[in-house]
Amino acid sequence: MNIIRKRSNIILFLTIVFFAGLVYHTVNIFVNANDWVLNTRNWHLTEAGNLDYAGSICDCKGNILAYSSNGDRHYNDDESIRKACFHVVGDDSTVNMYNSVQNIYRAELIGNNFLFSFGMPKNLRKGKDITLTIDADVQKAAYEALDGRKGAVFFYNYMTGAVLCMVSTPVYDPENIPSDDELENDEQYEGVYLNRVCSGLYAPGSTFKLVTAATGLENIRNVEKVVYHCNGTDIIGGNDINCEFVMGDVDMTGAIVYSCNCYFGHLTDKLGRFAMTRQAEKMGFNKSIVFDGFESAKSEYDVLELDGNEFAWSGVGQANVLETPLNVAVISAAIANGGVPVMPYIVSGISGVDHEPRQVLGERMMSEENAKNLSDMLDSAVAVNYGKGSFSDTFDVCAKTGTAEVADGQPHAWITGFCRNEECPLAFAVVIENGGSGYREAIPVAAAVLDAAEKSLSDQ
Amino acid sequence: METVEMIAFVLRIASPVLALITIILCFVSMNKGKREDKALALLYNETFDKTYEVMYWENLIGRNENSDIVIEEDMTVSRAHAVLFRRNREWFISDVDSKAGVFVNGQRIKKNCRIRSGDKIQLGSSVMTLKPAVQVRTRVLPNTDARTISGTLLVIMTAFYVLMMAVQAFIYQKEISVFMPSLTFIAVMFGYYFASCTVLKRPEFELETIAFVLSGTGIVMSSTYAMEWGFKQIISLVIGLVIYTFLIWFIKVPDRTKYQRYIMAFAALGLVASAAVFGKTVNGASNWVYIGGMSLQPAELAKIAYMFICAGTLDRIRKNRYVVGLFIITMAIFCMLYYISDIGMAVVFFGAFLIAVYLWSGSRKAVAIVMLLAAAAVTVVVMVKPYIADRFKVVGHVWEYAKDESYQQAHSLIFGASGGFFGLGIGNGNLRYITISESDLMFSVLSEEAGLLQALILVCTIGGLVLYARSVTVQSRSVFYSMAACTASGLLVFQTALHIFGGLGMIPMTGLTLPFISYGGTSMMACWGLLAFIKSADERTYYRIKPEHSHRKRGEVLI
Repeated sequence: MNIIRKRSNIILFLTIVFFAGLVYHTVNIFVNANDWVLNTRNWHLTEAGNLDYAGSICDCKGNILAYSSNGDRHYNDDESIRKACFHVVGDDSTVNMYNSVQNIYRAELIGNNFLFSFGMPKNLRKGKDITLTIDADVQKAAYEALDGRKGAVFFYNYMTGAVLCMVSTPVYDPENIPSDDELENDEQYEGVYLNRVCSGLYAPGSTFKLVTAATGLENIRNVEKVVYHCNGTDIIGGNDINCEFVMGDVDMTGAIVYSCNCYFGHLTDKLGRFAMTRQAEKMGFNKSIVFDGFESAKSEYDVLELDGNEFAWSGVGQANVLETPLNVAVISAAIANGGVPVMPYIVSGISGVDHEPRQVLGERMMSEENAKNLSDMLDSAVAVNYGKGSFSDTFDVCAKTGTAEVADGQPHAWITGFCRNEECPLAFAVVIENGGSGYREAIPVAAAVLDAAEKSLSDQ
Repeated sequence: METVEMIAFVLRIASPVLALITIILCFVSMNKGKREDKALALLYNETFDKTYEVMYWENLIGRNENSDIVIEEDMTVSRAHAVLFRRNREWFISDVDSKAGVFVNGQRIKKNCRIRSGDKIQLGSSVMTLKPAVQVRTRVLPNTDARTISGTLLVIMTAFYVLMMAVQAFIYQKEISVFMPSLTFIAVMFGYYFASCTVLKRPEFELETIAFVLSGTGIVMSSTYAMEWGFKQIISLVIGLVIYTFLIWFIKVPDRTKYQRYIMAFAALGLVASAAVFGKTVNGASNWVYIGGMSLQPAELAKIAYMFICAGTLDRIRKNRYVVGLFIITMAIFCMLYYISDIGMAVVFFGAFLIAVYLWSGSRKAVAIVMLLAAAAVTVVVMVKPYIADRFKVVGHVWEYAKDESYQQAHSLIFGASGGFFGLGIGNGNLRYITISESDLMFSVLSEEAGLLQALILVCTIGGLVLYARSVTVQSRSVFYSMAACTASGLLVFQTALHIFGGLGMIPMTGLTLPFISYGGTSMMACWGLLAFIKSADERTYYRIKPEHSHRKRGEVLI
């Protein structure tokens, strides 16, 4: 009998392994349940109305952007604010808008805890309230400045990282959802669920010259002093590179100020694919930018397969180069902040949770000296080319516009830059899809938002 | 509407609590009812003037320190010399291939020899006599008065528990018919309880209650899939109860098991062979046999027969040919299971085989060799049937293959977690809409609908059966029961583990059922069959059937 008793340890061992597995699974659920239940494959989430008892979302001034009452989800009373915050806040579904607070923070909003999960009766759920860094009024100003055109506006504080404005159009009013038929077929709702700030991939046009210039500054000593003679056209790689007009002798500052394609095409050619790719990847290309659960599309810089002429064009943001507005803004923020970008954050508080926004520094993009050089060049661009009058006179803005040619339709209108005023340290990117000239179309949008932003920051 | 939701919510929290209380009461009661650890008889060694306590029903005598009676003084005694064992009210001794032999009253014994009061037993140079221990009555009889709880209460609690689940199912499915299988189940349970009390004269009902809690859960779950599934499970339960009762009776005489072993070897082979010959292919394995409108998985039933091959009485397990028999029969079963592609069942048999090898040999080396052989076999199988490799690749990569290979596992995790600790309510889940979730993913279906807590309570109960089987090991009436109970309970836990962790993507999925709970008639029968071995390991089971004290002749000295 004793020997069997002793040998029965094998089943005891088996059972201990079994119990250990169960403990492991339970701990796993404890740790990962929120991720698992928010998986888009979870049919429980797609069942309508699961935000019916969720917590509210406010902007930095306490304006309520979304809230639930009496088993219904409501949004801000002002239609323009509702629309302006459409992509930041998101909708009821978890499949439509990946980059939205109502999707990313759904577990917190519906008060999901691993103990009861979806088994908690809805009226007993205690959803958490979320405070964002955005300002509804600035959002509204940006939305109105876009004036029905498709595009994206992103403003954030390059010193702290707080996002003040993230607007993407087109949108619809979440209180008056258009019919499925309209959403599917009406052109004004094309790509309505895409948060263009994070997920829109556009040809960056001349805004990419900041990357090329940075590559030059980082790799060739005193490159900014080299003078290049622009004939209005140059042949690189057996084909043309064109400028809008003949610019004559330009150094790097001049090339930035007048946006000389030939200069940057030439510089790109001299720098070579390896240096360009390495610097572009340092500046956020070919990877996602992630902040507070928002995850951008990967900006694309892949020139290894291009021929010589196309490669030269890539240096002025054409060819196959694609960039997200978020990436463009982060590059400007890095220039403003001495070469190291402070990464954005958008959630400033979650009720009942000790949520302290951390300042996250990105990878150094260029040396402090080169950042200073570049920001002086951008300053000149505003002063000499765009005119100080483009922005309200109190602002010390450094910016670069872009007019990115696309295969069909009008070019994308771009502007990126930053404001050097101490009370208004904002980096920004604006893109208007097929908007035309960056100078004519994008500058007024940026200027209008900057005015609203300055007012918002002085109120805070 | 909201009141109804609140009622369901309260029920969701209450039902695991009731299940837990019921099961804990069962285990506590079973533990308290055990006999105290006292000597059954005394063995007096005249040569060395030393008394040994005879503690068990079967005792190995030898110099080996693991023997039940260790004779370390006498170097002429073999390491394992003889087995002293008790049948009914009499003691026997048997020689286990000792060098010096066993002599009773000067005669060298060949077969089992009955020991009477005053007989001189000689092992080596030791001469011994068997004496009664001091307090005859209390030490032999199981501790019947220590039962803490009546079977009636346990059955009523189980009925309430099943009804709580059925009410939830009614709230969420809004079909009054979900009560029908549950009520039928409760009737069956009460019927068996009364039969157990009256006909079988077996008032203790703890182990059965545990199995009824598990089966009841399974029947409610099956009936929420489809009412006729619930009834199918009930029919299987009734057949299972018949098998259970029959087996307990069938194995009541330990010495008969040596003949039964041959019958059962043929039965095990025959059952698996019938699947190989008549099997219909369902879900890739041709393990289904249709008899008169019923579909059976004969390999499941073969598990019961296999228990006979895995176990033996103490005087016979010392002999090598039994291990050889075990090995040959197991290999034959493996070959046939491979032929019908029933990989899951092959893994279960492998688990039982591994346990049996260790119980027979006690050698870690043997276990290691068997595992190495198995690893080699798996490698060969993966090379011959590459689709099996797919089952390995999803382990730890559930989310990567969530669209195809690990579709089931990913949804198990998502929906299992969606239920939280107290579930979404029986019948209110989503995992049930995934193919064969009723059998292969039952643990996650339970976590989603009944809650993780209840699911864990139920599966831990199966783990508890192992602890119970171990705790009664030395008190069994024969090593046969101990070995069979250990193998059977180990097999149940092994299968449960494969089911749960396979479904969750922690190990390759084998498509096995969750014992007692998953939908599957043959599985239900097999589980009750295996339970019979655990039940028989408890000496009280047979004490009820044949009370020893009633037939005692006046004046006979009971040793």
